[in-house]
Amino acid sequence: MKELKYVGKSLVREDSYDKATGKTIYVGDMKRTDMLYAKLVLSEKAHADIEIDRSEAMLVEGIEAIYTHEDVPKVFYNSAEWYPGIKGIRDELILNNRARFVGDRIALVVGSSKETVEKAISKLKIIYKELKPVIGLKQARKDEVIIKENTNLAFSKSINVGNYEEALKKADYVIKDIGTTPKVHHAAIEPHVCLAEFDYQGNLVICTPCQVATQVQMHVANVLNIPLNKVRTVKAVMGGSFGGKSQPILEPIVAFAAWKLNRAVLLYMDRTDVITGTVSRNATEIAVETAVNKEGKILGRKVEVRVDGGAYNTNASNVTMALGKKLYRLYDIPNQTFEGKAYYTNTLPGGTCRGYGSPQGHAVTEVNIDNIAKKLNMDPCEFRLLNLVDEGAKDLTGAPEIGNAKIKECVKVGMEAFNWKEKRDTIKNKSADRYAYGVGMACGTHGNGYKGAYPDFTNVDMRIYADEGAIVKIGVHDLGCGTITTLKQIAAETLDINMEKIRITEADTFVTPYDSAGTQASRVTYVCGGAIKEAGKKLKAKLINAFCKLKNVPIENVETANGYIYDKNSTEEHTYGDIVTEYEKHFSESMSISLEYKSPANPASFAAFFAEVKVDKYTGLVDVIDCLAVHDIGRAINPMLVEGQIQGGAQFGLGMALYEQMKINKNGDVKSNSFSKYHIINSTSMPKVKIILIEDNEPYGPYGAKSVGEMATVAPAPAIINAINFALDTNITTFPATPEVIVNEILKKGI
Amino acid sequence: MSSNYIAPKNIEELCMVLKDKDDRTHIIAGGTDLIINLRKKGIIDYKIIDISKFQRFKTIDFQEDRIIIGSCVTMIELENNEEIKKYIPALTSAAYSLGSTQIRNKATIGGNLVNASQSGDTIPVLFAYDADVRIMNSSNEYRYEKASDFVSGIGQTSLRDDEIITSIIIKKSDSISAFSKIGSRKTVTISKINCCGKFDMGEEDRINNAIIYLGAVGVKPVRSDLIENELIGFKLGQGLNDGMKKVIQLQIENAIPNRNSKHYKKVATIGLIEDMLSQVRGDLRI
Amino acid sequence: MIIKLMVNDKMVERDVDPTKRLLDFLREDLNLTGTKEGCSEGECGACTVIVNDKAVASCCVLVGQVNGDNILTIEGLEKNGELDIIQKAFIEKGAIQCGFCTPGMIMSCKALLMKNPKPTVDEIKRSIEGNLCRCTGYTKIIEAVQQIVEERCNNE
Repeated sequence: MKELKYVGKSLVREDSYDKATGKTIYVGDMKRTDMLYAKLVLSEKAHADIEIDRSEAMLVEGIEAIYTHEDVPKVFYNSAEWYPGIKGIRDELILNNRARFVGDRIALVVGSSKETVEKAISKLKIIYKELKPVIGLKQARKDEVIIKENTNLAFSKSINVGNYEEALKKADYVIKDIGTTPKVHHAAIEPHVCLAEFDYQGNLVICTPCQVATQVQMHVANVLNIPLNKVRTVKAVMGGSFGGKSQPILEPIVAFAAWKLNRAVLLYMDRTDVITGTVSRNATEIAVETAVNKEGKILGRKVEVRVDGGAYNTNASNVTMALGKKLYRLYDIPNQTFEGKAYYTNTLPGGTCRGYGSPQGHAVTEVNIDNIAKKLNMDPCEFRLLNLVDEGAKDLTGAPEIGNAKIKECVKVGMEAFNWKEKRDTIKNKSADRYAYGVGMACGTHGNGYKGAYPDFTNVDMRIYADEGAIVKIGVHDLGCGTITTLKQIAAETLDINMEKIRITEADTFVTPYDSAGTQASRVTYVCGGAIKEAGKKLKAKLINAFCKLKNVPIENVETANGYIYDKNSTEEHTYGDIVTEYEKHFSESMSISLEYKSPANPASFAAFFAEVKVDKYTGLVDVIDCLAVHDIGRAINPMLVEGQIQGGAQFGLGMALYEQMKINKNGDVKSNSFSKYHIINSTSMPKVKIILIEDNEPYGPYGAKSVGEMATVAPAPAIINAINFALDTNITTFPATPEVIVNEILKKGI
Repeated sequence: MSSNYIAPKNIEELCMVLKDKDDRTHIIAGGTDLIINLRKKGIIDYKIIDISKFQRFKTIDFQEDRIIIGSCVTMIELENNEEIKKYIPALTSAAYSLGSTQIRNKATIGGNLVNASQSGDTIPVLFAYDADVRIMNSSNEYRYEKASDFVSGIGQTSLRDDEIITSIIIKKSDSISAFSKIGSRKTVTISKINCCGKFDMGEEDRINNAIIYLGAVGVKPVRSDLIENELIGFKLGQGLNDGMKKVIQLQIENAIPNRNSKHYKKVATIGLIEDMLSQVRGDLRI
Repeated sequence: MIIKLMVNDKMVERDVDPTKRLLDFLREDLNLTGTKEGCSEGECGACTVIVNDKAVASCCVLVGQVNGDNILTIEGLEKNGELDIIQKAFIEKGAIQCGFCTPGMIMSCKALLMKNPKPTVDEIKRSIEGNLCRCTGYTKIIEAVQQIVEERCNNE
């Protein structure tokens, strides 16, 4: 294979210069002439009918409008839908007169400044007629208090492969575990924010750090009953999302305000608003039982999952099924039953969150895998190696093929690099009176787009200009990961043009071509990158063809280098630009291409995570001393960016294992409503994450690449818990394993 | 000068503004708690007396028999002061473990005391050292009160509307001390429980006398006589024995018999005391 | 009230409500929007600026409190078109992802290097303990500062 010039290189992101100097303009930094500020008023009660007296607040100087339920269109929508074909259960309104969770939107205050708006909010008189709230899955299941019509059950479905009951009969052992995972706050450091205004072409423009511009466009047009082509969503610079900014939360209401007032309106949230008033990772209860024979082969598994969907339907069905489907793609299990149920509760709604079901599903099943190994008296890595999927494995549910699965190699390489065997054998010798030491590991899998579940295609327009520069128009969203840089590397490689000469758009629904599903589901490098590679290949062929025609050169003599094209038997050099211009002149055609690229496959990405922990048996605090992430990534387009994803994903996963949870009391009050009460891992608690990449070419991925960003957050949490359980000889299945959980386990065991 | 904000330059000006002080008026020293609290409570209509640059309250004065710490001395100044480290090592440690670098650069000892948070980190140290609080009123009159009396409850002190803390006075001694805390994260975390121990040492690294205060197991730090008694005669080089662990647990049981958190805190406090003792060992190079 | 202070080596004099937060003053009155607001309670560090050589959370400081002081913000690090050594290291090492924590993170590192030119890894970690980042896991941020220290040691 020809040596690659751009792909595989740790190139610096061009946006990092402005970010390092503070010049980057995020939506919260934007100012417009005559712009108004808006803030949502969020319910302080979990379940209540609301009356609002705004008379005094309206008197505050500079207040333009205070909207409540009475003033807004009563169009129900489901914010988790990203195209009309999904047809989910639509139960959300932009403002409510019945609050269904602490943080539900009950009013919008619009005024000339933030101070004005906040002053008016303090003068609102809100009367809550409280209803009994349903908090937690246990209460939801009882159906004593019902939030919606007939039942709190929001969704129910199962997946069946083989015959689990038969497998059970043949089993030597059946190992059962029940675990829970918490609601997790995304904690993007940029709070949610959104700007709506009209442009000179009469578009209602929504400028927002979003993940799916067309999703925003669809909901705004629907709620305001205006044509889709009059709503222009512009994806703004994103100060982190992790799924938190995927479902439109602020966009429909701020669009409404701008539309009503015919003014630019900037809607901002503070941290407490974001924690309570947006969405979270869905909490789950997971019961798993696995049937194995004494040789160490998994014969069957049954996984029952209860998902806390929160107050609105949103993604109840999607996240439940996403969780379930992942369970069929990591181990070779001939008989497996998955039963998923989602419930309404009076807590904040569930939303997409990095990993989307994978972190929850693998959290408990990977602890269960360790417990099986323990029962069989086997090393947990060895047990996994007997059962993990192989290259070319089929998904027994009929979902797209698993692809070039290298998870076994991840485990083997990781064992070696982490010195697993020796550590596992000897680490407990380090344990003394106060501290217990342990090592643990876990595996995980995630997807590469939506193929097999939803439409997965993207349109791309690519053009080479007369000055050798190129533009790639595509509806992608850089969430902060460096997507644009990655895609540029692919474009530069295929076109053989210097990266600095290539520009790539982010989504702008008035300008960029249609993309079917946005920047979610780990689909951008794999699908959109694939599209860019395909377009680049075709455009370059067109350029070469043009050169051959113009210069009368046989195609086999043509060579290109860094924007130059030449006949290898001639000393004459031509820039791409020369050919572009000549081609236009002689053939009346542009050097451009448009194509619609359908994702050809949806393979699995994999990772194995190894961790060493030191557990303080008195304080219950856990120190992660060492960790190693081994990723089956197909090919790293930009290794530096890939490492960044893995290290950040580990921070997310370690948080889920040790600290992070939305604490909601029986009344539905959110106790962890600020960063002082919702701890994410900070610098002093974060270990250095060592990384090994297995790059073995995923056949349909651009230059062999597949996903990493979501994948990176799956395996760390169960690996940490497995290490703690090994250190203490406990069976913790509660996430997070807070100091209280750990001390409680120690007390139970009497150690 | 703006009507909602005044930064008095001298005692006369300070007395004048204290005279007019009402419950809408707040004194700002570091501001790391005040500004957040005003915003959280949605209080817009307030007045500020800014003493953050009031030089007289910003000095640490080492006298022959006592140390006078101005109320506006910041955590970072305490943390970096070698003399404080020599005479009141627990205060160095408490200052070091409070909040983040950014917060320690602004937060003051006076502010920490007046806030009287249950988990305030310098408060058990001031209690253990039997510190006096020097309080000035709007007539430029002074009164002194023991820190342990000054703090009366969660967020409550004996400070009257027209009063201000000028300094905290700690008697010099040969005692050694240490501070430890446990939060839900290693650093930048609110204490779930904290502890200051002050010891007079005898022969062979034995503790002759001990004063122990535990924070966040009551409305204000509580003196822990059970643990103190157990530690008298304790040889620092040893680890805690089972008897001591039981006593520590009993101390917590006595302090918070009806709180759910007691189960955790009973165990965690063993680690807390161990951490505190190991700090002493480190300082004494044992 | 008239407030006079040095911001990024320039004297600034403004008639402003002294109870305004320094963060809002910088962002709204001086249009220095590089300083970010992430939590409004001094926990996340996105609003970190340097006041008289010390890193502070500008969301917990009133502008009246810094009257007469010397403020350095992210916008003031670039000198004569040359980036600060920390900015360069962050860029080269891939320490920047979404970039929202970056200005505060860089200012905390700047304050550290101002008083301690060759910090240890623990000192680096400690200096950014109050700067939360959700993207990077801190690894590349710490490595960026380590790279500066290493270069300094090699140049001796």
